[in-house]
Amino acid sequence: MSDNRLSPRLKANLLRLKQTFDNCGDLEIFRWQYGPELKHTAVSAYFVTLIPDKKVNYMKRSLQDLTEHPVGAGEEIRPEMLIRFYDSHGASAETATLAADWATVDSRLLRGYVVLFLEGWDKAICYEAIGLETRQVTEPETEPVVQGPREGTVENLHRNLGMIRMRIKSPALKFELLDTGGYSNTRIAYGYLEGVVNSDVLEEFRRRIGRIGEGEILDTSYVEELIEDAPYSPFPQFRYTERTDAAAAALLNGKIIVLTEGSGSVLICPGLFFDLLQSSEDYYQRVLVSNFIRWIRMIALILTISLPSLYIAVSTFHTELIPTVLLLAIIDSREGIPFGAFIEAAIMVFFFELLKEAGIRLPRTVGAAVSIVGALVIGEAAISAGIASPIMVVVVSLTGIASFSLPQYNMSIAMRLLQFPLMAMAAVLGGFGILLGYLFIWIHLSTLTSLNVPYLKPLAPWNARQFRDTLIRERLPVLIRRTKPPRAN
Amino acid sequence: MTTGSLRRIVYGLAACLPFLISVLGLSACGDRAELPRKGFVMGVALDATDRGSIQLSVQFFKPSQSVTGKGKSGRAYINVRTEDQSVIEAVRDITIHLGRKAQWSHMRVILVGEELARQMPLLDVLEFFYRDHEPRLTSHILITKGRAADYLNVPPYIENTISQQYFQSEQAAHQLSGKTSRIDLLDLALQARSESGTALLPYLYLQNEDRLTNPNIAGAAVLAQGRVRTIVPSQLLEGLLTLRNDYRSGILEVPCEGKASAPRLLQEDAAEVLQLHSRMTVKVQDNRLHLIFRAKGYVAISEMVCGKTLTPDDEVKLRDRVQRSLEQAMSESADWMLEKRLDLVGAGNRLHETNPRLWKSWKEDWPNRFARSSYEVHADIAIITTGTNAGKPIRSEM
Repeated sequence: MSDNRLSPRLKANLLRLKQTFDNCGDLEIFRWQYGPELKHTAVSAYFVTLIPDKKVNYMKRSLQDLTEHPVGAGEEIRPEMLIRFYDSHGASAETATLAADWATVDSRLLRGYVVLFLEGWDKAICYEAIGLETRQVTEPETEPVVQGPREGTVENLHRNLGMIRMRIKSPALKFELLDTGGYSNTRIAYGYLEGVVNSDVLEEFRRRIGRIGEGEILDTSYVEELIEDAPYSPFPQFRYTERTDAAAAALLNGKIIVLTEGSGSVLICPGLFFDLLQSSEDYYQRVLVSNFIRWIRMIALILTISLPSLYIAVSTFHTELIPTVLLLAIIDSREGIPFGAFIEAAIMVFFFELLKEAGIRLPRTVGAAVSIVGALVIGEAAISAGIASPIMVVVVSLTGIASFSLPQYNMSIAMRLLQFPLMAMAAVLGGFGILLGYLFIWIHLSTLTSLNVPYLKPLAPWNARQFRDTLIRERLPVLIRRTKPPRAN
Repeated sequence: MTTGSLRRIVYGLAACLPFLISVLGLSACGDRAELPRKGFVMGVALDATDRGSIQLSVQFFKPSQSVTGKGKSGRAYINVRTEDQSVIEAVRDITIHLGRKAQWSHMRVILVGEELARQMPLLDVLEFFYRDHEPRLTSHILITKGRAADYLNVPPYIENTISQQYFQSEQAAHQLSGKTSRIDLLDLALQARSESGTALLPYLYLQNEDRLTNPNIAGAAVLAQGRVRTIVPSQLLEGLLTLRNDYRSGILEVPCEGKASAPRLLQEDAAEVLQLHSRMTVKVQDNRLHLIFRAKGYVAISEMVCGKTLTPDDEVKLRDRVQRSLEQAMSESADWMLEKRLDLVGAGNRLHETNPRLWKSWKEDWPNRFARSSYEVHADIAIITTGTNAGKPIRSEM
């Protein structure tokens, strides 16, 4: 007899259960007696930490399934009746499934099932009873909108999938589930819209997910890092969202979304460069307004990456380019500063990054004090002490503000990261150095792929038909019009 | 890009990191002079000395010394004076005094003393500014009455430095009142090296009144054969600019009829020139040069003292008077030009373009030929507006 299968003898099953879950103080085992003269034994086992109190008595429920009158002590029910009923999948009040081997029983117990063992039966009845409290559905903090739905994902996988299914009520929306195994045995779900998603991309995605193998996945970002094309590139290849409407919109655009149990982040793959510059609000405002804001965002992107380096290059190497009156103002503010432009810029940017990091970590009560201290230190005191010049503070603050206006957090971090090499190149070679830096970045971007889809699509390779929603957002009737399927390339 | 190759690149870069960081400490491209190591030149003045050398006065911008950059105290400029055999040597001597390298790219004006401009060929004096990579060809040149260095010591009214003030007054005087000409390095070279070989440079002088000295930019200096020859009086300059098609805007005085000998105070109408273009035609008749000048423009009446525009005939009469006064100005300037034998209108250039063989034969004797030429002037003016609905002087009861 294989070690995995349940034994008909209750004692052996109990022993095995106690061995596996030795020292698990939250596993509760109850013994019930039922049947004529209460001679027959049954045992129910569950994790009390996973199941709220009111759903405890599944034994009674299963006895109740067999008669229509209140079963009382259950003295007229015999084990054969129960066994026959459940083996033939009779309609029970609570959905019951049968388990015949220990792997299933262990995994079900750990998922919050109540498992019933009967004396003389080599199967166990499992009832799903998990009832942990989860977070309420609120507006996601990192993606607020002025106008539009405010439904954010929570940590419970089923609730998230349910919210997304409510937005796309079509049988074409497929969700595939898989368990990762390992100690966490996390359940991952990925969804796509059949007929809209590109089948090559889906194949590639499945291949990469299959490559994960057994591992502990604690958050959706683990999945991202395991399946991305270029882990060392500063540019993210996938998009994140915590909004269900953004996830639904991504599905309608032919993307694949990934959710994991225990995490509210939704991963959208593939994430292309222009997708990372979009936010949901673009679609909830009118055409002129949303295009204006989108263009401000693109200018902000360029400012984030290049403003300090432009300042360094122009003030050190190309003073002829600055109008005379502005130059005299800059000279006035830079006289007496002990550091060169590059060191000063590096120090200010470093302080700014420190301030941002501190602002994230601090509890809300102390956060206000930090912002005041930060403004005082970086702003007034540094200038008065002669460490920094006012114009450098303006440049660095403008860069920081521009980086905050990017809707995707991972993109804004990437841009801030790329500031530093560009500043170094500007300090060494001036405008030519910035040109070289941009060249390297562009070359990297044009060879970058996300799930084998070119990152700069539709800009490179050029595809004019796909330009409806990149630089300029067309009117909604144009956007939601059904187009021909994308060219195979 | 596969993950493997990217990893190699990143590891390679990480290995170079200690070396890259040490680059910051080396003196290399990263060690380039910062802004505070340069002195920004606002203006430069060139003079001749008795000892046969060139004296250079350079006006530098002086940043304010307070750390926050606010609240300037004292002057915002310093003047450094050096003297040497050539301009470039004098420029290098600046570092003996100042300790910073001069940065010429934001230079506003170049002042050349009249004495130096009369003695030496101007393009030789300014050779350094043409060859060096920093000065722009759009820097403006002024000829000063007396020593140019003194003009840099005049305190400015509003601007930071007097060079900025000279630059702006030159621009305003030329474009708004037509009282001076404008020239930059490029135009100077083009005009001086043209076939006519003449150029008109703005003239800067000091005017003393009430124990105050005010710098004025009015009138022009004539450059011929490389040196400054004479100064054009400012009354003749308006006509001269019109002949050269260089008159932008200004006030045209139209004397009242029949009052030529009376004092001119408040006895003439004034018309503001909004737009004035002129064309010159060069004709050769009987081995003689004949110049035809046609000016066409639009004016608005600014002051009406004796004219009126109540009827169409009145308007025509007023227009004729305006035209005649413009033609008068042009004739006076043309007479002066012919008398001085200075081809300031580019007739030689035009002849060279249209008839090079004739020009070759006339070239050596050109000033005399030019002096013997005849001319005619025509003006075609349209009066756009008289300002208000009143078509007669405000004071009158008619």
